[in-house]
Amino acid sequence: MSSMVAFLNITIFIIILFLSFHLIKGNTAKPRKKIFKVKILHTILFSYVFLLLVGIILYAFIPSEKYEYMEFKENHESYQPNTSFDAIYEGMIDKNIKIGDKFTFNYTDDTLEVSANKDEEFSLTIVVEKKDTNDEVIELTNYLNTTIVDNIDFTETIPSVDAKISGNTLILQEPDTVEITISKLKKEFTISQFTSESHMDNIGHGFNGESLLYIKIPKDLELISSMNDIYIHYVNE
Amino acid sequence: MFLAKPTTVSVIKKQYKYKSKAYLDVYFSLVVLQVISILLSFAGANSMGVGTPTMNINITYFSVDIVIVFTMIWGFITAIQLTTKNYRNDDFSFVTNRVNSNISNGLFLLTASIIAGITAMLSTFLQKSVLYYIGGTNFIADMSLFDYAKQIIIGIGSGILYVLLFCALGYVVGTLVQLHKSFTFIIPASFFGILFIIESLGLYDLRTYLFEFLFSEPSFVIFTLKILSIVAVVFTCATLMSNKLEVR
Amino acid sequence: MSVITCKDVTKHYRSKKALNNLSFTIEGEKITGIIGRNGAGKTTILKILAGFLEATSGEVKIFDEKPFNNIMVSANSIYIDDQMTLPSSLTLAEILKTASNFYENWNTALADGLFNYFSLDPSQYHCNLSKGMKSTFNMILGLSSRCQLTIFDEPTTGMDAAVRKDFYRALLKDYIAYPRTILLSSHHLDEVEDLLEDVLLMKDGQLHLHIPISELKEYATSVKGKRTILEKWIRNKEVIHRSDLGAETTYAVVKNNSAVLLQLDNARHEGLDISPVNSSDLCVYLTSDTKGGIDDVFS
Repeated sequence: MSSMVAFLNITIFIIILFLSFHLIKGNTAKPRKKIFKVKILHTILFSYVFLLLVGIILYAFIPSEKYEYMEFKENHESYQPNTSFDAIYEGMIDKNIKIGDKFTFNYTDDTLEVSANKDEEFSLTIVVEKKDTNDEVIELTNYLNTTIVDNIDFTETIPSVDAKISGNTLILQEPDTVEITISKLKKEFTISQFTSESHMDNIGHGFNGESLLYIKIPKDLELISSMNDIYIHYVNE
Repeated sequence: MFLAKPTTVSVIKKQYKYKSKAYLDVYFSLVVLQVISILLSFAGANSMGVGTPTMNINITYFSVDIVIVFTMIWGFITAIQLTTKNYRNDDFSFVTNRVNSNISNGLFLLTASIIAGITAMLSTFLQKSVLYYIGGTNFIADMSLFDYAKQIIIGIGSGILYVLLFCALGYVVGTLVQLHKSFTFIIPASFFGILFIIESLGLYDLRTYLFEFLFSEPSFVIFTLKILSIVAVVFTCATLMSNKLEVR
Repeated sequence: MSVITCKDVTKHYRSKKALNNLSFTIEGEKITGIIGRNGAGKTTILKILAGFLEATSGEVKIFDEKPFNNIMVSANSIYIDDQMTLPSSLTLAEILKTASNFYENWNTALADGLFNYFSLDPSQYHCNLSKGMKSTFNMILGLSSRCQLTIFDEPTTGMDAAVRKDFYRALLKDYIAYPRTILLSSHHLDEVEDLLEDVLLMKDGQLHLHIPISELKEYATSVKGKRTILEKWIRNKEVIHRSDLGAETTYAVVKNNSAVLLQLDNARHEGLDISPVNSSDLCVYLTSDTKGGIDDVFS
């Protein structure tokens, strides 16, 4: 519908132009005055055509190596957004889910305080799974939610949470926001009308580029949160 | 007494040859318009921003849609220009009749549409080259740059047809205005009137249908047939209407 | 086959009647002058003949065909006037080349010769020419195209006297070299009368006279003399024009007929001044609405 509005705007624009054209030009038999000599006109026209041809040649030399972001098109049919990520809350981890940074700590105490060093705030989801055994190992895994914006897969660009243990405290560091600015080639409407995969246009816009911190702790370890707004989801509880 | 007996075809050929040379000015306005619209296109057609706590993604889209749209407007105005008294009188300074004059105008506009459609679409390469080499912009495409170049062929084809459609519309509008000056007001008024009626009666399906009839036609062949039949009908109407038009 | 046949041609412009049942025929290759006052319908009929305008009613035939929307007529006729628009994007040389492409009888040698003689600049544009130069160029176009029907509507507008003279000379020479039907409308009948074979005098959209120029010269006689004597003499004669020159003297133009011619000696005898009428003046008198001309306004 937005293209429709655009079209109406164009049409209105045309009519305004048309009216002004007629106001200026009128229909009088006044002789038209010559602005350019034919030679200058030819020069202008040929320069423009030359410029366009140069543009084609230069374009051909633009390196066409794959951009750092993966193309998503191929596997999007099989992709089921969110469901695989939701399953994590149940402790089931899909093999397709991308994994960010991983941390492993040996920890022997019974309690562990969880805190964030960045302004005492932590906005990411933490899922905790208690292992069946007391193996005295804490495993942290960053799971990256599939993030696709306009067919470009940004999943692997999602920054991971950094973690370290200091005494009895697990300090989580939320990563800085990653800024990505991209120029994308858009097919002209004269092309997309005939080649458009219109369902592709809308895909990817709603995907949230969040990561999830999955912590596996020994069976009897107790986590204490030092922050109010941290939400820790326990699997199977 | 020797009397020349020219055939219609020979007169049309001569008129076409003469117009290709005499109406060269219209290409100047085309170049100016396309250069301006290419400059405008450097700003990007539109952009999209998506933000999450960890990531901000900003995508700017580049296309030469605006160049094509400007070219369509150019076609419309150029066609109107050809119907004005000055241009018509020029024809009659040499050998012609009204039908031949209209046919040679049509052929000229067809040529102009082809040239305009090709240059409009090719400007995409110029745009991308300037953005890459001068602006340092890296592009991402859903397809390889080479695949995109292949699709340009379709773009050129439909671009030409769109420009031709607007030429035909301009031509019939210009002819109506030549028949009677009051059409200068009647045409915009009825255009907005019809829009208003569609809106007020809530005929959104009709509106969508009218819009999608051309602009959403996914088959290039059917699109070509639709445009060509509209152009043929519109042009025939213009020719019939102007067949009694007096000159000089 | 007559070149031009007009039968009851009427032309309306909205409410105004420009031509009113105009009928005439022009046969063979001759130069005909179209003479008439402003608004007599000269331009209208010439444009109808050229196929630019369509007659409201009546029949127009050029070479036995209707001229409106007819490429045969268009190819064999050319209409030259000072309003002529030529493509502003072409140089004069290119216009001549284009015209040579369109007109089969085009005479390049003549066009180039005249072009050089009038020292026109081939790289100049038509819309940038002065009025006189424009007319000169149009005239070259008209002559060189050598169309069977060549129409000059006020071709000398803006030309200076020398160029006008040259033009008439060129017209005559080329006509002799390549005879064709030429229609020439002009305000200056005295300048063109030596060229013309026929005169077509128009008044109020109607044909007033269509006679050979030689007959026009003997069409009327002017009489000048004492009012009382003159008035007696012109009684029962067809007076075309009458004006008082002074308190006593009157000037009159009388249409010639056998009776008039017989009485000329008699008039001289009575002291009246008899002289032939200049055809240019005669046309003015013939097409004037009132017998006394402008004087009537003041009497």
